[in-house]
Amino acid sequence: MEDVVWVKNLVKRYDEVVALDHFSLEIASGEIFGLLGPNGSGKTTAINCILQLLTYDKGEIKLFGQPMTQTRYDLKRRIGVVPQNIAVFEALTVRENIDYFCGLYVDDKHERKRLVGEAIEFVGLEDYVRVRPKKLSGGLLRRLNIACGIAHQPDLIFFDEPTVAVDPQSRASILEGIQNMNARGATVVYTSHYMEEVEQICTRIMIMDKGHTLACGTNEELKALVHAGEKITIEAKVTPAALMRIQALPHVLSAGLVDDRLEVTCENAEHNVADVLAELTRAKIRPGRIWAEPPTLQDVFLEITGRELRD
Amino acid sequence: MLTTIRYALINLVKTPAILVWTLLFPLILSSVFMLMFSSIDELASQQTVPIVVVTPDDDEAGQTFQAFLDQLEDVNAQEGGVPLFAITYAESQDKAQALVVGSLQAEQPYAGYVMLQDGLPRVFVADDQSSSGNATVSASVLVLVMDTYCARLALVSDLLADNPLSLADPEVVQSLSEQALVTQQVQLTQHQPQETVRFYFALLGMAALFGGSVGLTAVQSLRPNTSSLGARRSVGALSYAKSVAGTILACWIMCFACLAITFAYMRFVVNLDFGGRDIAALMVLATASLLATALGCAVSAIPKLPESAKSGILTGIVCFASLFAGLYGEPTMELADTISKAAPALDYINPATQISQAFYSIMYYDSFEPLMLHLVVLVTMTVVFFALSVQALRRQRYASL
Repeated sequence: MEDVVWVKNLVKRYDEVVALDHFSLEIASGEIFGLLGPNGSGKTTAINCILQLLTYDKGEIKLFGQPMTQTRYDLKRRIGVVPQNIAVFEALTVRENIDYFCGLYVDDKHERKRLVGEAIEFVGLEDYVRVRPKKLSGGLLRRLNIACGIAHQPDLIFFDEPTVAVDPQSRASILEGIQNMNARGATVVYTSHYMEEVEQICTRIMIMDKGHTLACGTNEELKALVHAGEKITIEAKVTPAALMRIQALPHVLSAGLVDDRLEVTCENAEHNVADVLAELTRAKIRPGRIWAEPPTLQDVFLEITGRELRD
Repeated sequence: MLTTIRYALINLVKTPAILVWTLLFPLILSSVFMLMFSSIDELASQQTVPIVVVTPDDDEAGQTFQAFLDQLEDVNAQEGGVPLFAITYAESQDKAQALVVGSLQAEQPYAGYVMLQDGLPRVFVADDQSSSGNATVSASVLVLVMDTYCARLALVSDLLADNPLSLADPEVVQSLSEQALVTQQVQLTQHQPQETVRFYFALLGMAALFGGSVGLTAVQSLRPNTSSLGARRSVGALSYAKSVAGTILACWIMCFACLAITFAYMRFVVNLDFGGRDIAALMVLATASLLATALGCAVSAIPKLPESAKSGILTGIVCFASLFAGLYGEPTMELADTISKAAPALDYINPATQISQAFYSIMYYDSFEPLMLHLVVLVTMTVVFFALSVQALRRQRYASL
């Protein structure tokens, strides 16, 4: 299948700072592709280069198999953009804003009316069509921002951190909406530094840092990259001797105490929890609550870079 | 592109700062001018002066004076103008005085009263501290006319003494009995402009230039490197050239509409007379608003400055240009005249001067040639301003956002 987005060896410099260092990307049709990385990792720069808003020093960009330039309005017609910052006219109402942005892609008035109506329904802003943006809450404003970007029902949609400063309810609604758009056939590029979101909706994920691609693959493929297979947390007052015995267990990678909690990271193996609990019983320590979870993308990022994702 | 024009217009109309400077500001100032200048215009126009005359005796002196008064009442009315005096006759000095005093609070008080004493008119003018400038002028007119009568009477006396035969000549007698027209009013142009109209021209000129803020605001929101909104608009599928053209067109329409509303207000509410050249005035407004839009675009093209700084620069340019065009009233008009004499070339690079002079040329020249010259200069400036902004406007990609 032909790649919807194809980027090869993209280099972007801001004076001495290399924002994108031979960045390459291939996204197939129908994917929800997540670009994950901390602030300043180059996610937005990559999107702005792909959209031809930024100049770049080197590299090739193709969209829908065609070289992308700033005057390829035929390609732009198939693209939707939901920027990180709210980009709407303060003086126009919700409906007027959506109609304006839809009008940048669709000339036919009747067709536009239908599309705008669908977009309003899609983001759930039916009760606010005559309201100006400044009267909307943060969550509703984000929904308007999304409606403006997707009203023309594009084949490829870039979402640049669309859930920043959004309440949990709106966030869930936005993520569900993105999955629905994908189900309708749109290819989605989703940037975020919220790993939970990326894990939840993306079919493939690229982890970026300092303009480099650190890893790329499905959620499972990325997690397979790390040694940690299981993370066990137990509420217990563990003695130093017991802790030493737990650290010495065969599949334990690390163990430590954090606020009366024992945190143990293990390799993928059977009976990890049982082994740790057996050591606690031997030391006559009574455990409280117990959690055991598989590794997260946070763990992947931590292991690859040695830093937290949100540093 | 029609969608762009439509929504750019709606956006501009709903932006309070733009409406304040391009519409409310000139409308409010027009109203202030109307209140300030109404009495000046009344002074400038000839009005019938109400006076009281103590009925002259039926002797020779009385008959002569009565004939003079009758002539004063008739002379202007016969030529289609207003009579100089509206005379009320009183039987005695006391009654005349009572009439004058009694009318002091009236809308049109008597300027004074006249009584014949020893063959000569004695004038008593109303002495009211609260009297308006109009009343003072009426009293002066009364005194002046009666002085003229005395002078003519003295001339007749001299002729009788020195050359009595000359009075046998009917032409001499006729000339003595006619109103002496020492000064003749000649109209140089087809139209008689009101004295105060130039202040309104100044206001229109300044309001037109303030319309530059329309262009500045609209074009700023188009550029990808100035706002998220600009960036988002740039990634749309509408050709950037169409987007820019539609926005500029909307700015011009908005700017011109505001000025046209102001013009209509001046024309029909303030009752300003543009000498029947309303179309020409609208042409100047259309050109001036295009120039203002271009000026706003040029200022918005200045790189690496926030919008607030550009707005400040635009306001500074407008204020300075208006100052050197004499748009702030009498003292600055003198300054503008001095500059025009010392460095006439500066007038050609000052848009405010060109706009105000275009308006003057409508009123003070019968020919349209001077107007066309100013319009050509204004259009040239517009082209230059647009040319200066082209490089910035055509750019869609930036090294950084």
